[in-house]
Amino acid sequence: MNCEDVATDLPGLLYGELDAQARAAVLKHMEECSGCAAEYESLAAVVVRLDEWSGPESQKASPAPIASRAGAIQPVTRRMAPAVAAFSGLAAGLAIFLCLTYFQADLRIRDGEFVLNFGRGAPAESRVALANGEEFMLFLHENSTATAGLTEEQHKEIINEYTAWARQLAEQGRYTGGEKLTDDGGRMLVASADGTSVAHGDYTGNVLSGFFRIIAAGYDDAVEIARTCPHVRFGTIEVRQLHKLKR
Amino acid sequence: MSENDAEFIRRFKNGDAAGFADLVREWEASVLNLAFRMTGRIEDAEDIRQLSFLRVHRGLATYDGNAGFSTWLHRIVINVCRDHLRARRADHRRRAIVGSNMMRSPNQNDPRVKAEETSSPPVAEAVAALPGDLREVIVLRHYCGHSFVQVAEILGEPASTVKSRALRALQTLREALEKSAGKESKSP
Repeated sequence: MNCEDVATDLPGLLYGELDAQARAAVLKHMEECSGCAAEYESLAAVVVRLDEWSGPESQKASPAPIASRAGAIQPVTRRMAPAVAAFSGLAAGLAIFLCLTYFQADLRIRDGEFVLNFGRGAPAESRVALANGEEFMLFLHENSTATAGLTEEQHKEIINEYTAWARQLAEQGRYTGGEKLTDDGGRMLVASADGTSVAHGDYTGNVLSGFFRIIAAGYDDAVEIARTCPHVRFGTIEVRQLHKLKR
Repeated sequence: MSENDAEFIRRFKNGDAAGFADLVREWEASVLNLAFRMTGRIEDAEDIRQLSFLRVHRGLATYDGNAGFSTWLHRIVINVCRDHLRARRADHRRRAIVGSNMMRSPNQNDPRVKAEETSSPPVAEAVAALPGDLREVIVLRHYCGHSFVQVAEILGEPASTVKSRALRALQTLREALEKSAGKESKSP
């Protein structure tokens, strides 16, 4: 694989679309090619920065959804409660920083270890050998009305906190991914004698809104990391260790 | 296509208008997001959302489901965005020629709009400054979550072309953000 091949594969690598074989080939090339490695790291930083632009829900209050304005239209499914809708500004903001799965693309192999880097400027030695750590999930729960009524400015401040927290964790090589879940109850599949029924999930009260995937030495360490997450102010964090089943 | 979408479309094709309303409700946030990322203005995005669903309404009768619904829908939105941006550019040119404030739309004198524009993060300005073909790829891949293959399907281009554009887009964004950071550091 040469530099031209790597350039072709860079978008796929940045967005986690390469298969394992192609990914390994690109990473191997970058171990030996500082130019391609630098290109990749600087573009990964751009991908991260794209999330600084929050979505339309953070703009001025939008008129009622056009489906509602059409009038006389009864929803067939239960939609977001008003309080949840008010919460969407923050949720969108959180999405920016919870959707940091791109950092997975920053997983590099160096000196026989997996190394996590956080884009440009990350300390070269900030690494965690995955073999020495365990992976934990931080499930983020919150009341769907927890942040209703916050101003846009307050939302931005919270977003900045999440940014700093995620960046710091990634720089320490302790971050392997995260996602914001959409603001709905999703679907619930329930097995019954008649087969599997599918129902709309409930999105009121305490809801699961997102997750982080981190590396820690054990539960105590994972809890200490979770304590520093801004989310503790808005809800609860469930810390669970991944059980890596041998396949 | 999700079971929900298939059901909404089936109802609409069977004459149930509420089926279309449900489809709109399911997808309007997604359409607004795409339109906003393409235009950078919420007012424009709302107009595009309306126009897009009008086209969906007209075209749904012939939608055969071969393409995924989100692919089909976003292709429509992208086309509406292209028309809109083309008209906006023509309008700007006309104003430049006339050189008169009288040609300004009321919105341009609305401080709220100005505030929105000036408060845009540098990355929003950098995306807005991308050439249209590069911006489409970044918006569809990054902000709408389509895979490169889906983006290729939406744009009717080979996946290799889409990936090549994505690379150029990211490189262009990098330069723009570096320039922006340089300006910020020089400002008092």
